[in-house]
Formats: sequence, structure tokens, C-alpha cells
Amino acid sequence: MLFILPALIVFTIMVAYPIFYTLIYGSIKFTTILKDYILFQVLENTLTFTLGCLTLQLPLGLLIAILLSQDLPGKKIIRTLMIIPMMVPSVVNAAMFQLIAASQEYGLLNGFLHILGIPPVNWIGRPDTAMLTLILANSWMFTPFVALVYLGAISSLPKEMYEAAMIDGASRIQRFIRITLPLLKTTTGVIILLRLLQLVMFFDLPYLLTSGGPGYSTMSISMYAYITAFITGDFYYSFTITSLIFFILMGTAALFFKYTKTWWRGY
Amino acid sequence: MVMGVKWWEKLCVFLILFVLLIIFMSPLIYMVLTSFKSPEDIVKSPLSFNFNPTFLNWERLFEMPDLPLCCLNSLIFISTVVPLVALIGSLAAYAESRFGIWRGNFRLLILSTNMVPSITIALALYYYSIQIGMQGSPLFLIMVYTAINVPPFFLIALSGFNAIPREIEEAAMVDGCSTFKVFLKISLPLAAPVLAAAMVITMINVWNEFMLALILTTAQTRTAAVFAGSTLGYMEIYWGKVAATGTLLVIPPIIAGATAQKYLVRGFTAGAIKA
Repeated sequence: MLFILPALIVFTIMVAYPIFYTLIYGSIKFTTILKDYILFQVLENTLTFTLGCLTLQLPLGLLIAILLSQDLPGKKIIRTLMIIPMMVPSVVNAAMFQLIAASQEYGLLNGFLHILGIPPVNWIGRPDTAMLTLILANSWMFTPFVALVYLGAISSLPKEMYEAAMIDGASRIQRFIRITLPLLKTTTGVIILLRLLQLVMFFDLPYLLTSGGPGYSTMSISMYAYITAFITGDFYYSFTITSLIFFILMGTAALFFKYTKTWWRGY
Repeated sequence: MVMGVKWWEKLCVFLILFVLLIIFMSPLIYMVLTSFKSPEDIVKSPLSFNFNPTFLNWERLFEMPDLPLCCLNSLIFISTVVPLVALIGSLAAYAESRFGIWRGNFRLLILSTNMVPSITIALALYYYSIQIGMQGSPLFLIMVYTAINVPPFFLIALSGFNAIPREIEEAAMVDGCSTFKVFLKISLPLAAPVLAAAMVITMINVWNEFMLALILTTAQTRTAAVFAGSTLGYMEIYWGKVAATGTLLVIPPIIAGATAQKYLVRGFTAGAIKA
């Protein structure tokens, strides 16, 4: 018991108390939520981010994982290099994509477009392309993560099943659809929920890369809370928003723990 | 799974992987290259490898008066937070591994604190610190960093302690060692490599963290990440300097991460709630 005491003290002071504080002050302006149309836009943005990121990261991550699970020379080096994006600070992630999506002719993306004879695009200056830039930037960082989680799951799949299927004459594609995909269902669920949790808290990239703009088109809910507190200066209402974020996350976390118990037990 | 794969299929797989690898590495390479390009070269030939390398951007970066201070602040935060996290995290993980506190509910408690949105905590602490007249005190950031870094550390340490055979500890118990002594003299040294890796991951997390530092620090206590964030602007024209700042910031975590590779995935799964 003595062993867990320090951990409990830290969590009471640094996690439980601030939440308590937020919920109390946040309840003062609770009704403002219903009249706040920006909030709905911001929630919609979060949904778009999440769907965009998942449709890009899940298939690509799975593809990389399957390729890496093959017996290949140089596999280890590729794996090691794939880990690098996970260690990059979000500030650097933003800096890189600012260079890549730089307006005018000299960004990496516009450079390629120039070679193809397409006029440069102001990536960060338009709502749809700004969103796309954020999704690409986030995918750069997290696709390798998704791939490595999948790779871990694939390498622990039961080999006997594949051998049995081969004896029965199943082709490689059949084996993939009938065995691999169903067995990866739990892992996929874990990844989706983890990404959902992360993207509700999405802050650094919109703040640094697009400043939530143009307008409110790429603002995340965490950033909206920040703006309300520090730019608008309405701190009671910012507590209302952070309370809302807290409830959304708790709901997601409850789902997470319900569906992924076996996964966490592995630790 | 790998049976009956023909050589040309292997080649295809290898080529696809190689292309993907290049796509994933190109942003980094592009940034590093840009940091050595003169402003004219950046505008004229953004994609070319053929340019005269210059240290102009780096000189500009090091001329900024805040840079050494902010890097020092980051190091101070790392050197206070990492030992604290290691202490609290390994004690808790050891207890969980050996006694299974609250039938696994303690584990869930720790994991769920990791899912509390940091913006909620950050804003509450910010106003709280104003109320008690301690605005910008590094103490708050140290405490928050400790709290949010314990869960990932805990998970990695847990797997480390679980891997130690109980017989060794039981033998020591029979010889008359107390639980704490067993922990200190036997379990801790045996789990040391795993704990070291967990500490490296904590280091990376502290160095990389942006939002909490942005809200809870003042000009004197800013971290390197906040400093770098302030040099990014969407109207920025000194692309070379942005690239140099980015390159400078990415070096420490990559070097540190290379030493803790094996545990990175697990650590980030638990700690990756930071996007």
C-alpha cells in the first residue's frame, strides 16, 4: 500500500482536483453551449479530422505491417526508421509541414505540382486544403504507430491456422480475408479508439500549423477552449468547454475499456 | 505465412516498402536540407539537392537570445521530472506486479488518468495558479509532467517486473529480507534495463510536450518546444530558420529514442495521448 501512495497523491492533486475545479466553474455558463454555433463547427471539425485520419492511417498502417511481417533482408533497418516519426516533437511536425505546404512556389508539395505543370495551391489558406494538410501531417506521425501496433498483432497470430488453411488449398488472398482480417478486429478497435481519444485532444498541430483557420475551419475543440480562455478572455465559459471535452473523453474511454479488456490485460 | 513466396514477390514487397520509407523520410530530409540552404536557394530550387550549403540559418538561430535559456529550462524540467516519475512509477508498478492492487482496478485507474484531457487540467491549473499568486511557477509544470508521465512509465515498468521470476524474490524473503529490501536489492537491479528505457521515453515526452508548457510557463520558464512554436508563424518568411529550429529540436529525441527502441511502441501506446 505504501508503494502506491505517491502515485495516488500525485493523481489526487494533479488530476482529480483540477477536474473537480473545472466542473464546478464550468457549470456556471453551461447553457451557453446550446447557443454557441462555433462549438458545433468545432465538434464537426473534430469528426472530420478523425474520419480523415482513420481512412488514411488504418489501411496504410495495415499495408505497412503486412509488408514488414514478410521475411525480408533489411527488415530491421526499415522498422527502426519507421519508428522515427513517433519520436518527433509535434512542434517539429508542424514546422515540417509548414515547409512542405508552404504557400507560393517553394513548398515541397507545390514544387511537385510545379513539375507536373499544376499551378501552386495555397494549402493552408483554404478550408479544405488546410484540413487536408492537418490530416497529412498527423498521418505522417501516426501511420507508423498504427503499423507497429498491427505488426505486433500480426506476429502473434496463430501459425497453425494458416498451415491448416494452406492444406485445404486456400489462396493467399483467401487466407488474408478469412483469417488475418477477422483476427485483427480487436486490434483495429483499439487503434480506432486510441486515435479517437488523441484527436479529441488534438491541439498542437491546429495551433501551430493553421492557427485553426482560415476562420474556424480547422479549429479543434481543445484549441477553441484555449482561444476562449486566452483570446476572448471568458474563463468560465472555457471551463464549460473543457468540461464538455472531459465528458466526451470519458465516454470514449468507457467504450475503450469495455471493448479492449483483453488487450490491456497483456500488460 | 511466408511459405511459398517467390523471389520476384519479395522484390515487389521490398520496393513498395522502400517507396513508403522514402515518402515517410522525405519531410525530415527536406527540413534538414532546407536548414542549410540560403534564402535564395529555398525560393529558387526547393527540391534540388544541388545547392551551396550555408550555415546562415543556424547562425541566425543561435543569435536568438532566448534559445539557450529555453533549452536549459527543458533540461531542468527533464532532470526533475524523470527521477520523480521513475520513483513513483516503479514503486507503483512493483506493487501492482507483485500484489495486484484492487484486483486490477488500480491499473485501470492509472490508465484512465491518462485519458483525462490535458487542456482541462492545464486551464484549471492556470487559473488556480493565478488565484494563489504562483503564476508561471515551474513547480506546476513539474507536477503536471510527473502526473501525466507516470502512466506510460508504469506500464513499461510493469512488464519489466512481471518478467522477473518470483522464485528469486521468494528465496530472498526466506533469507529474511523485507519487501522493501527485496524491491531495492533484487527486483530493481533486475528490471533496470526496462526502467532505463522507460526513463528515456519519459525524457522524450517531456522534451516534446508543447501545450501544457505553452499554458503553464512564462517568458523565463519557457521550454524549447514553446520557443520553437513561437518561431513558427503562418506568415513566416524565414523558412531557413524554421527548418534549423526544427532540426535542432528533433535531434535529442531521435538519439534518445534509438537507445530505447524495443519499448517505444508500448510506451507510446500508453503515452501517445498527446496529439
